[in-house]
Amino acid sequence: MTNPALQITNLNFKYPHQENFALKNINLTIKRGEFVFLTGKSGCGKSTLARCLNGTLPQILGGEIDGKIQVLDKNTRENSVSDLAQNLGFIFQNPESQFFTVKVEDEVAFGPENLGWESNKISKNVDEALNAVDMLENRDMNVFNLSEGQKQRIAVAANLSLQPEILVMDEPTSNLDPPGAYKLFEILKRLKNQKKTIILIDHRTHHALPLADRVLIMDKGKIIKDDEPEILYDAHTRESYGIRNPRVLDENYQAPEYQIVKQNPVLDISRLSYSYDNGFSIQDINLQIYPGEVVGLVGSNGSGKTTLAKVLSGILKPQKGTLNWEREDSTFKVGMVFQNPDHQLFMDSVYNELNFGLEEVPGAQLNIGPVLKSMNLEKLQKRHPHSLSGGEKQRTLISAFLVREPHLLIMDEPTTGMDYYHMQRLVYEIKRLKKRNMGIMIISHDLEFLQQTTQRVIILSQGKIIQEGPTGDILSQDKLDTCFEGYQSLSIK
Amino acid sequence: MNKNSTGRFTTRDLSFIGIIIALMYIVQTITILGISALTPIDPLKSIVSAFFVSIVIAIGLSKVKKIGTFTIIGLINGIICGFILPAFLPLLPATLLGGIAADGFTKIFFGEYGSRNSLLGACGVGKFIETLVILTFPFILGFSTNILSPMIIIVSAVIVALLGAGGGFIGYRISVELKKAGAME
Amino acid sequence: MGEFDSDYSLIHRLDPRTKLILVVAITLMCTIINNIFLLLSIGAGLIILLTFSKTLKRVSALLGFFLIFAAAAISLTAIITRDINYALEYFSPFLARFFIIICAGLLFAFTTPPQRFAQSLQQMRIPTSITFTLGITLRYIPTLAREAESIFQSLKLRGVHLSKWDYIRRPSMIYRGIIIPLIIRSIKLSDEIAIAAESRAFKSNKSRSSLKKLTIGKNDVLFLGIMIITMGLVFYLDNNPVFPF
Repeated sequence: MTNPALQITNLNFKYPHQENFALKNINLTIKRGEFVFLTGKSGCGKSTLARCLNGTLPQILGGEIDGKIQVLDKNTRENSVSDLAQNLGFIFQNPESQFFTVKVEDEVAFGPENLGWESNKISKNVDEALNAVDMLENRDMNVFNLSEGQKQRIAVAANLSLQPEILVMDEPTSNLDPPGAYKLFEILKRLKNQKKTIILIDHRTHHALPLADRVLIMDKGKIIKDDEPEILYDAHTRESYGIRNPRVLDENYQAPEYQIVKQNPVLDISRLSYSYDNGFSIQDINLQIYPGEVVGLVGSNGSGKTTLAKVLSGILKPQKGTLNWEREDSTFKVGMVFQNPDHQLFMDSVYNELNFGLEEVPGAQLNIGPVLKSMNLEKLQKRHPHSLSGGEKQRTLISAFLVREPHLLIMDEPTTGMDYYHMQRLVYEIKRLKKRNMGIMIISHDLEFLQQTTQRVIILSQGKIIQEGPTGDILSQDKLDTCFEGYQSLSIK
Repeated sequence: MNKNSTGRFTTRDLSFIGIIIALMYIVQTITILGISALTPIDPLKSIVSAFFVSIVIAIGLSKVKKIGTFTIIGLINGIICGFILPAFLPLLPATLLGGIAADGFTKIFFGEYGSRNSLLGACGVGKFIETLVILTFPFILGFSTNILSPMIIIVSAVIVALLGAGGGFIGYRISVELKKAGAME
Repeated sequence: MGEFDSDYSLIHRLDPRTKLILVVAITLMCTIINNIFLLLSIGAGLIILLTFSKTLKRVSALLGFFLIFAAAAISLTAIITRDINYALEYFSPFLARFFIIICAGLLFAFTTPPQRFAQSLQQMRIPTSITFTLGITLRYIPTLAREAESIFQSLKLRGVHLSKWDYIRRPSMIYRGIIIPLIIRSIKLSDEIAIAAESRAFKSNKSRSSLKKLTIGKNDVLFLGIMIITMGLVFYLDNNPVFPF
């Protein structure tokens, strides 16, 4: 059988109520057993293309399509998304929104149950699929008790139980920590060896590069490069199309000298502890943050980063230890930008968003004008926050905190799902924020981003600070290998 | 529900309706916890939550638009109320009949959900019938009409219906706002 | 929605459909029965079942609350009318029936995992569109509860502390601050759920099979048999009073 796995001819696609085409004249043939890495900056059309491959667009989400997509023996025009399920499996970023049950085996059985298979056959397929993702021993577990990485592996198994030959994955590791991502790619490598056809979509390139047979780069709805994976080592190509560096630490990075004056910290934390009812805790945290300093906080999921941030921001009350603020008198001390800004935007315009709740902070309304100006939001001030792009939402949210003049701004995983271009913009904005003389704390797995923004990095493991020092010292290859639990996989090649 | 009318609902409609019902629970819990300090009387709590819950229902209706949506919401809500939480079976006929009445009302007067008056009317009618059924239930159990007079029942149902319609109105306004922002189709 | 151990007791192991029949039958029956002693016996029977299923302790707070309410209603009427017999006669049948319905509902809810209940509905040939939607609701209540918590935290971070009076004084704060962000999240979530479902071969108009089929076993038959005999006896006694009262 020499038929291709996928054949796309003259594909054009337009979303409902949009004037411009999101995909323009796509022609593509993918061979059976090929591992294709599809990349490009946010909005280039890569997710749109992925969603056309099994008919999700336009069948479920609407839109106008033109051209032909052949998936093995079926095409997307005459077959429904469900009819294509046995040819093509689809996995996306957020494992939470792919689940229908609470038990691992039920979840993996969901697909075969839809096809009305006999229970013996379902059971056998569930076993095989769980085995393929090394989760067989978790068969009876509740999905709520799994880590994000394990959940994503269950999402893969839930597709494998239908035995599709093709797997399409849209940013499957965005929500995972480095150990979780490493494990998922180990499984993808095995699936590749079993001759599955895999199409992986991401703008992070580190893990994908060693596995990919072929790289496609998209820009403005078109495939503009179809090449060998090595093309991603070319800095010029990457920067032109907003793609991240496959090396997680920038090889040309030169650590700036640590110049922070260690006086009058905005926040002095001593012997801070907090424990949850389930036994997880952070213990004995001692830390000072100085004005104008950007501190990075790293560690695998479950190391206590978010708990520490929540205690600092006042969401959780410390059970032991003290937080001493330089200006104890002011009512507002910490701003915190969550990973998903959608939770934090409430009003009907950017201006009102900045004004939200300000009646309780005397004098803060006077700051709105200058903050809008300095954060480059003046032109957007009448727009609805939910009509903005991801980066603009983030900027609106940061501004909503800036008007309250915080002593400390915490950002939790600000570069999740962010391409190179948008990451560089954020780096630029953080450099400008430093001048406001507040402290900034960045929680992130994104080492390249931390290199470019922080002066100091703290490593947290099992609720304790295990390493701390200037960025240049901590984010180095030998430290990566020894200090970061599970970060070994990020070694520079 | 016959086959044709369920067949019209796409997976996307159904998953949205499912999430909307989950959201109704969350909003109800939040409001009931929030106002329980204000009044110890249970029916009053559900009356106040009627407003907030109707906002959520109206947004659900304005996105799905199809007649039958309110019946599905009423049925599933009733199954949960009757067997899971608070596990009081008489609530099932109340929410189901409320849903059917709202769908019938909208079918006759508006054709489908979407306009301001259709949402406002459907939420009002739905809540009216639901309250009426809940409050007449004690009679079936042998409660005397001397205490809970038909007049009190009608007046309470009208109050809840007005709050429901108010919620429907706000729900309409929110859906217009979100549609404009491009966050909702 | 708590965790359930399906092997906890015999009642837990019964098929949800058996318990469903029990709840519906008891609810209908208690509206017909008039004899207060029979009603109280049914109530006592349910208490025995609750004890037997080791759930009495967990439901005792709810039942206690009801009993306090019942006692208050009776004593208040007795004080107003100065006639305790009248108050008892007036309220007893109503309160007894109410109590029976509550007990039956709790017995079902506390011994049946919601997901298993949803599966039993699927096997009862309730349309897939309904069972699928119910499944989504049950699955995503905890997820949305977590999202709601995170939204409350976001409000706190912005210095907005909602008080109980805000629900009445500033309802816009509640729907702006809580409902809108939850709706935005729900729209995205439900689209992804729909895509995930169809990508895994789901069709809303097609019936499904299941990995582990629920079966009516010996225990179920026995339980239903006892139930039918008991109910028959209760009806007989209601119509042919053998007791002097």
